[in-house]
Amino acid sequence: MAMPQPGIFDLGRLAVAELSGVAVLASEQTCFVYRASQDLTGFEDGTENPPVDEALSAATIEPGRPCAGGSVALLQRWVHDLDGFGVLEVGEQEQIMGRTLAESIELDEEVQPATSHVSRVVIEDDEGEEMEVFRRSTSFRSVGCRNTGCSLLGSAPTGHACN
Amino acid sequence: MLERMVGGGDGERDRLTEFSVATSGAWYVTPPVDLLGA
Repeated sequence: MAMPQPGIFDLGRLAVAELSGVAVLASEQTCFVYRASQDLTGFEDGTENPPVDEALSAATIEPGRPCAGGSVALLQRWVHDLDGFGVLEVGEQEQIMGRTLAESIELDEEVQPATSHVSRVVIEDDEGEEMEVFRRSTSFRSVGCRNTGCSLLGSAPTGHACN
Repeated sequence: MLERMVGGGDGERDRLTEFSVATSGAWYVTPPVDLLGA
């Protein structure tokens, strides 16, 4: 019988063991993928990510530079006010996110608020080229809803894009 | 990205921050595996 592929738990234990000579695990947050890769607000997560075939170059330091193949990583813990967000009309939620809830379609440019999440996280360099950041969020929650949110990992070749 | 979320540049703040707050965060340089083994 074939052995199953290791899961996140197994890989986490392996990483801790492999790094035990140089580092100790100081803290951890158990997270999960909610529904079809959605944030706990119900909106699809990671829609601004580059396509899979471009993800590696978007997330890692290019060859020839110090630490080539590595990455600059931003790790954040966000706590959501799900109750506050949940009482808003869907149309208002979509204005905040900049995308539709049901289909995750980005709002047209002429109606896209400057304050929407989509508007604020799309960044450009001095030449007007979009700067890619590979983002991945997973959710955590407690039954009481007071400790509910997401852990965000952003990876890019430089810290400039995430700043 | 983070600067723009809090209103950097044009003063427009990401409205999602009205409903979600970053309680911790840090930058890390993650070296490639072959460098870790050096």
